[in-house]
Amino acid sequence: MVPTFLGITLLVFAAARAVPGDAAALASAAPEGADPSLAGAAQRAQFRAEHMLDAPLWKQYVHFLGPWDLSPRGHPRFGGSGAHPWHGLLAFDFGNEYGRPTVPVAEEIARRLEVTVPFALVSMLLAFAIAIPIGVLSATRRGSFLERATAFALYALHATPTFWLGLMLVLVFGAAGLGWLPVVGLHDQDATSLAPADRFLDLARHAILPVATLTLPTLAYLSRQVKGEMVEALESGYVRAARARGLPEGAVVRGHALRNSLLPLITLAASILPAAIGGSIIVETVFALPGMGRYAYEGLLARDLNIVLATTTVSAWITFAAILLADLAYAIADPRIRHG
Amino acid sequence: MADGRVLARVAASIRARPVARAAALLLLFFYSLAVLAPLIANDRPYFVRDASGAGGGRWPLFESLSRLEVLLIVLWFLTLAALLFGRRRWVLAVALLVALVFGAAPGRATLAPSDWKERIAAGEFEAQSAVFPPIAFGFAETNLAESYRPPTWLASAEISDAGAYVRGPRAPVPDPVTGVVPAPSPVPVRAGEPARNSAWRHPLGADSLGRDVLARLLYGARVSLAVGLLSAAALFALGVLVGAAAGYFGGWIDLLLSRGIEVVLCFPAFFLVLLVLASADPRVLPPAVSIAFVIALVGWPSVARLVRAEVLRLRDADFVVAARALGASPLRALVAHVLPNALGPAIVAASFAVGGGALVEAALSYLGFGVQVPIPSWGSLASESHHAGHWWLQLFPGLAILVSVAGYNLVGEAVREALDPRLAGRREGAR
Repeated sequence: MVPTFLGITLLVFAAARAVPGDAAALASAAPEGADPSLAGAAQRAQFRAEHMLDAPLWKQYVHFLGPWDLSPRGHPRFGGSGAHPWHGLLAFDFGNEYGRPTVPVAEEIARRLEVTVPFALVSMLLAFAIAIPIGVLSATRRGSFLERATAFALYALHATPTFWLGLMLVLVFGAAGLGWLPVVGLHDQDATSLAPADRFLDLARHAILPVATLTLPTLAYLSRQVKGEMVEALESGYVRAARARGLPEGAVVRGHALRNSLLPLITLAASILPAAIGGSIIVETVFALPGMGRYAYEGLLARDLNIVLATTTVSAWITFAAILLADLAYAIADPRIRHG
Repeated sequence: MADGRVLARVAASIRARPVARAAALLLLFFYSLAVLAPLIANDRPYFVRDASGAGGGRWPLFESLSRLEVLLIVLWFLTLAALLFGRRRWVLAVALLVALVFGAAPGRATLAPSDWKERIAAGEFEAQSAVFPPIAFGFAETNLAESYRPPTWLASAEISDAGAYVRGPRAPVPDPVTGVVPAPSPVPVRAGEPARNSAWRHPLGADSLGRDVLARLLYGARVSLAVGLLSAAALFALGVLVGAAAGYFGGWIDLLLSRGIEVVLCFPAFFLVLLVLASADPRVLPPAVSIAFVIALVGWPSVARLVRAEVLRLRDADFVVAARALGASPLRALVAHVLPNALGPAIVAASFAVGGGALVEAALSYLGFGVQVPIPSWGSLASESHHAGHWWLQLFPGLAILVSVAGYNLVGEAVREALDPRLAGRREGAR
């Protein structure tokens, strides 16, 4: 676990530092619209020193890992002024944003996760809730018209780019089409004046299209997996044995085939999560949601190293935790492992 | 399961399934369109006769083709011929080469807008003799008066002589305060182009600069199709290399490589792609190629895991032990005996990665990290305007992505049926 963790931080750091040009260089390349405090060469040099962009790479990496702040205003033991002694992953401090020096990146990420995580969880639960019945039905009714129609629809969904699905949903349900649903942001502009119940309704209405955009591709992938597992299970020996004992078909499907087919889905859930987080960049961009994917993207555009490092690390952590959880859940759910 | 037989099994599997066969043919058609794009959509005529009447003429379109373009077209016909005459062993190699050249090709300066239409209009050449391609627009040819013109077979696309839209949401209306009707600008129809209101003028509409969307779709197909194939090939090579080394040599090599696989698997691949892509230099590698390699760089672990597991299973198999006993070196045993039998699942995974790569490319282009203007790709075309009124710009490129990715996946399915040992076992069990 520790080597993997270290490997993650190394990879994050290497990838982030490989991006050419830092925030200061960006300001000198495009003077208009950039941070005015970075106008002169002297200010840029000071900015680099403050954010350790001119320090040797190993020092930057150690600074990123923590727990000591190695910057000029950091821990006294390393020559800092002592104003801000602790920093880095081990101190759960990712520094402040470059553009808004009073905003700690960790706090902003927490705010952004409040948007991204509910969306990811709801869409994943929805995807599972819909995919399992669809998969079971497609496996038990193979060759029927309904099965073929769903298979076709799922195939198309599986091949659809997420952002394009979002755009099409906006076209159909947004103001230009049927005009049923709002397509931008989390709330209407007048939402602050609404009663709590109405406010929640407003949020729910805004969430329908993003959640659908997140859910549908996952759903397509999952239901095909469920179908594959079910088909395999239905042809296996223990199902034949159950049928031979005279069990009703419903009990065979639900009690024997389905139960065994669900096991691999636990692992799938963990493997979907990185895709869900990566996909959040797209969905949050299409629907202008203030989530973490959007934050990572903005940080990358502004060459804000603190944001880039923090968002990438956090999402890798989440994935790592999900994989561990899935292994654990698998062990609990699978008696062969439990008793083995 | 030597390589020739793998291809033969895959080909037989595709032929045996009508859907997969249709998908494969459709993909071939898409690739042909992409390769032949400069011959199908171009603002230069195939041929035009001198106005002097001496009988001399020029072949502007063919003169403009770069060597790379010609090579690409020749390679493509070789690939088609190899497919037709059953020399499948060569198909993969040639197709890969085609994809590679694809990645580099669209940036050629020779494809920039030409002045041939002006020269013909100026009377330098006989206008009646000019033979234009079916789509008489270049991919970067602008016509600002036609900015965001809807597909021309729609009633709302009709434009009057003065250049005003006749009906639909874009017809000019008097200003509510001053009562002034905005003056339209007439739409110039250049030599060789369809008439102003012909349904064939812009069958898929025009973009912000009045460029023909159909022409841009054809050229954009190059990037989109090439990235998918190239990324899958690179991902396969990298995954096989790492997976085989980890599985076969074991020990600390395995430990190190497995940890590496685990680390990369933990990453939201898309973040990593964005990060690495921001550091790619378009002067060193054509953007399409660097996108493909970045996708491969984050995608290889899944293939590596499959290969590692297979190699682990096979390395102590009787036939490998026998080869070693006969004096084969470890490397030879690995390459000649273990690997050919271990690649099935990896090939299946790689065949599904083609569509996956195309999807990632589309998403990257949507975020503005894809190929740079004026080179189009399907993803960047679909994201050119987010205005819901410009639906044709969003709909058609997205459909192209959808159809091609679905095609890749259908072919991938046939590959799986042919090569997946799990399925083979089930088929035999069912009998």
